[in-house]
Formats: sequence, C-alpha cells, structure tokens
Amino acid sequence: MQNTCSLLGALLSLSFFLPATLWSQATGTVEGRVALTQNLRESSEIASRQIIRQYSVTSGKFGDAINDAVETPPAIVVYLKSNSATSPVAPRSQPYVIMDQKNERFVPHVLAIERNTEVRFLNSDSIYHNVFSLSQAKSFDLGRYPQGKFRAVKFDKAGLVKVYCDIHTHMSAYILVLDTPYFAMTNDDGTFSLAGVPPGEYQLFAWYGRWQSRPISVKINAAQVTIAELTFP
Amino acid sequence: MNAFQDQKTIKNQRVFDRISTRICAAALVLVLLLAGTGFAQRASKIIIGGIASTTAWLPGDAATPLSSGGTYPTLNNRFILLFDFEIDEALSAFASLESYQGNSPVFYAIGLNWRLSKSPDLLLRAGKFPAPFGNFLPRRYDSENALIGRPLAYFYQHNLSATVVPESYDELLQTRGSGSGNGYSNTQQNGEGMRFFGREAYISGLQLLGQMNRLRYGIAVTNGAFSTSANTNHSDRFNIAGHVQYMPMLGLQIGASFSSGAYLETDEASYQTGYSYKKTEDYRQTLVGADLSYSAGHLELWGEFLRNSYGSPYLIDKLGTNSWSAEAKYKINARIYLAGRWSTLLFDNVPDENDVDSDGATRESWDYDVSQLELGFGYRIHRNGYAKLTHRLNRTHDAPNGDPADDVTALQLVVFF
Repeated sequence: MQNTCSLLGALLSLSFFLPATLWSQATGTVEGRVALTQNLRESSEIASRQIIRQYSVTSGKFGDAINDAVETPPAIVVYLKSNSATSPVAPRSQPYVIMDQKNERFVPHVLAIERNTEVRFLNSDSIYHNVFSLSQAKSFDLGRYPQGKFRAVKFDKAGLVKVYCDIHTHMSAYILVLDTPYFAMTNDDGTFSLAGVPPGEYQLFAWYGRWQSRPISVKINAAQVTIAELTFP
Repeated sequence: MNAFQDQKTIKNQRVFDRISTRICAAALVLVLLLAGTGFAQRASKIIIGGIASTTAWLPGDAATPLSSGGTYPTLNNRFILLFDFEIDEALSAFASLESYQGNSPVFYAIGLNWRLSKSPDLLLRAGKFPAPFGNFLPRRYDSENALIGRPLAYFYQHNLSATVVPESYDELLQTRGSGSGNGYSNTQQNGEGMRFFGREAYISGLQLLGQMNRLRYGIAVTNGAFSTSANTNHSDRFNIAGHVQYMPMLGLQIGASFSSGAYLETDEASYQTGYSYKKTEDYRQTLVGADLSYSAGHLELWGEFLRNSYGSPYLIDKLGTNSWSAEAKYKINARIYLAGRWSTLLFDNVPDENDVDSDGATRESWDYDVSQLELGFGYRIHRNGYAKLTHRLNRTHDAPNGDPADDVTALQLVVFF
C-alpha cells in the first residue's frame, strides 16, 4: 500500500513538472538593454495639497524627511506583442502582485501586470493613504485603511492605470495592464531578460510613464537567446 | 450710537501693513535669490501649488447675513498661489498669494519656517500665517472643503463692530441681523459687523509647531485678534492663540483651541467710556474651541464647538456666542461623493429693558440665532478638479416677519495643482 502511494506521488509530481520542463525547452529568451537618451525622472514638485498640509496648524512641515528617498534609475517595462493572432500562452505564475505604500511612496512606482491579475495595495505606513484611479482601464477608490492592511483590485481591462493617493498629492504610480504575459522590468543598468517565450515573430516595446519606444521586430527561436537593443525614449 | 473712528490711526495702520507686507515680500525674494545663487548648502527645492475656483450662487429672494439675496445668480472667482521654498534642511520660506474677483493679488501668508528639531518635531514660524485654531481652517480651501459654504462660525458677520462701539444694549439689539449690510435694519452699523474669523484669520507674529508621539500642537503670539485681522494688523496688539490635537488611534483626532486678543480698531475706548484706566486692549475677543474628526474607509466626519466672547466698553455683560457644527463626507466611488454639514450660532441673551422688538421679553439674544444645513455632492472631473453642487437651508430664529426666504443653491468648479 505504501509503495502504491509513493508511486502515485511520484507520478503526480512528474505530471506537474513535466509540462513546465517541456515548455521551457520549447521556448526561447530575449535579452538586451534599454539605452536612455535623457533623464526620465518624473517630477512631483507641484502639489498644492502638500503645501496646505504644511500650513496646517497641526501637521506643520513634519514627515518631509521620509520623502528624501535615494533616487534609483527608472524601471522600464519591456514587453512583447506577437505578430501572430494565435500564439501559445505561458502558464500564469502570479495570481496577485503587491503594490506597497511606504514612506509616502508607491513601491514599485511602475508595475506591469497581465490582464486579470489582482493587485494588492498594501499600506506599510503608520498613516492613512487613499489609493484611487480615474483611468479608463480601471476606476476605483480604496478609501482609508490602517498599516499592515491591503485592498485588492482585479485589472480586467488592458491599458494604462494611473494611481494616486487622495491624501498625499505627491504620491503617484503607473500600472500597465498588458494583454501579453511576456513582459519584464529593466534592471538598474537598463538590462532585461524575457524567458519562456514561444518561438515566433514579435514586436518588442519599451514603456515608461508618458514615454514609449518605437517597437523593434524580434524573432524568437526555441532554446535560443535573442539579443535586442532599444533606445529610449 | 456714537460712531467714532480714529481715521488717522487706521490709515497709519494700513500704511504700516502695506510696508510690512512689502518688507516680507522683499525678504522672500532675497531668500530665493540667495538660494538660487548657491548660497544654500544643498539642492534647494521649491514647491508651487495653485487653486482656482469659480462659484455660481443662486440665492433666495431675501437679503440676510446668510445670503446676498436677489433674483439673479452671482459669480465669485478666486485664485490662490501657494509657494514653499526649502532653502536648506532647517529653513524654508512660504507664501500664499490670493486674488478674489480679479482684484490685485494679496499676500495672505508670507514668512519663514525654521525647523528647530527633528526629534521631537519642532518648528518655528515667523511672518503672516493662518491661525492655529480648530479643524476647519486647515481645510478651508475650496479644493479641501467637501462643500461650498463654511460652518456659520467661519463666515457669519454679526452685528458687533470693531469700529462702531454700541453705547447701550438697546443700540446693539436694534442692529440685530444687520452685521453684513444685508438685513433687517437701516442703521449706520449696516455692514460694519465682524466675523469671528476675519479674512481666514491670517495673523502676523511667531508660531511654534510641534509633535510628540500622538500629540500635536501649535501656539502663536500675534498682533491681531481673529475678528479684526480682515483689515488691520495692529503692530501694538497682542494676541495669543493655540491648538492642541491628540490622536488616540489612526483616523481619530481630538483637538482643543484657544485664542484671546484685543479686537477694537480704535484707541479711544477709554475716553468714550470715561474709564481712563481702561485701554482698548482690555476689550478682548476670547475663543475657546473643541474639535473632533474621524475617518475610515470612505467616510470622513468632523465636529466642532466654539465659545466666543467679546468685551465691549459700554456693556457690562460679555457678549458670548456658542457655535456647533457637524459634517460628513462619504465617497460613493472614485468620482462621486456626498456631503452634508449642519451648523448653528446661538447668541447669549442680554438685557432688553426697553423691549426694542416689542415682544414683551426682558432679555434677548444680542444677534439673531441662526442655523444652517448644507447638503450636496461632488463630482471628481479630474485628479485635480471637482464640480460641486450644494443647497443650503438657512434659518434665522426670532427674525422680524418670520424666517426669511434666504436659502442658497450653489455650483462650484475648482481645479488645483
């Protein structure tokens, strides 16, 4: 009996891992670098509510120090769109992702997700935030909730969703909802890697805020690495 | 009514105000230039904000202190520019430039902030700044105010004047309901009445702001009582004001406020009363307040109580007023919210020995008691813009000929950046 159970367990494990292994062998990778031609830093130095808070008798000008976070290079979204209407789709690996609110900033500032992914907006600050968006792709207002709690939103329509805090005007973030599972964020040096892409002809895009690169055509071959360079913006 | 005014003193005072405002403006420009030329030790940061609003008022027929009255709608435009310039880690300059109805912009606030300590937070502010009081003043801007109107205590113009001192209770009672110039009496006091908070209670002086754990506080020593700061900023007056706020839990704030200062604009009070040892500064406006606010989810609540009293040279009793307000805002979704506010002003009774209103009562409130319910909703047009529509139900108690038809409907567009 014990042997039968072990055998069944082994078969179940095999049935779970085999398709993924076969999938990875049947797919290719695109790697490369996004070269920046100018500073993409987004300014948020215009904010009447921020000043009003400073005037406020009981808020004073406190808490500003937490905004002095070290600036990092922008994380740019790189994604592929298939030229074929019926390209195979990779298994979804993340049912939800987290966008944190920490030190009066959204972390990450830019988030790329596949359509129908749930985003959990976590509040890691000891103060209230009020996440909202008026974007066509998704309009929502999550209200105020305390530290350690989150509210979830499922993004069922592709497009750009601009996210703000109704209390802190200087807080903003972008969520790029994509119809493709093949996307990645660039590293600090601008490099990226997109693995598990089925062979075929694709258009490669780079996106950050209001900037969008011209797409370049790439051909993905099974078990091969394709190198691509994008100049941005 | 003895309408004495020391015009020369007031004129000199206004000249002084203009000069001091220009000195402050010049100091701000100098600070900006110094910072811009590398004087500052680190990268400076400037924050600019703006609020523009236009409001259409559709008043009822009757002109009262609660409504201008008339058949036609009126339009009010306001534009505000806010500046905050961080010179270095400790020092920053601030300014608020406001224009109303296209008039020349005026510096409502201008001055310097000096951070004395980060832990505990301690900030010293010098210049002209909004008064530290209550929980409505910090959200008085159209971009922050859920409705279009304000609680009665923040805009009602009562019949007591800073320049025309009533010599008897009869004189005061005869001007009830006439403080704004709209109303029930044709006496010379029409339009001479004061607000409890004149011109948003921007006052000049020094302010200390601090925070210790769940306690926040602000205390200011300034040169003008809240009522009289609309037109003057007396250099020789002394006013003390403060607000303390305790936050027992996230979203809940309990506050207490205090202010006391001379409010009369004339220096001749001692001659008029015959009490030569009494000075104008002895007649004070004293305000005591308690406030409460709570927010969670899509709901925000505010409540405030104010007790105001004036000393007046010829009157034995202090002229007191109690005020309450309660306000709620609820967001239905990302674009639409509902809001409502109830507020009331109850004036203390004073002797009415000659029965000025012929109702047989021997004591009357020194101005008509009023109450207001404002209901409305807001629509978020854009991240930085709202459209609001509200209706105010105004009630004046014991007014001659009953409650006047002075309800007001208003539509407001506000954009901010």
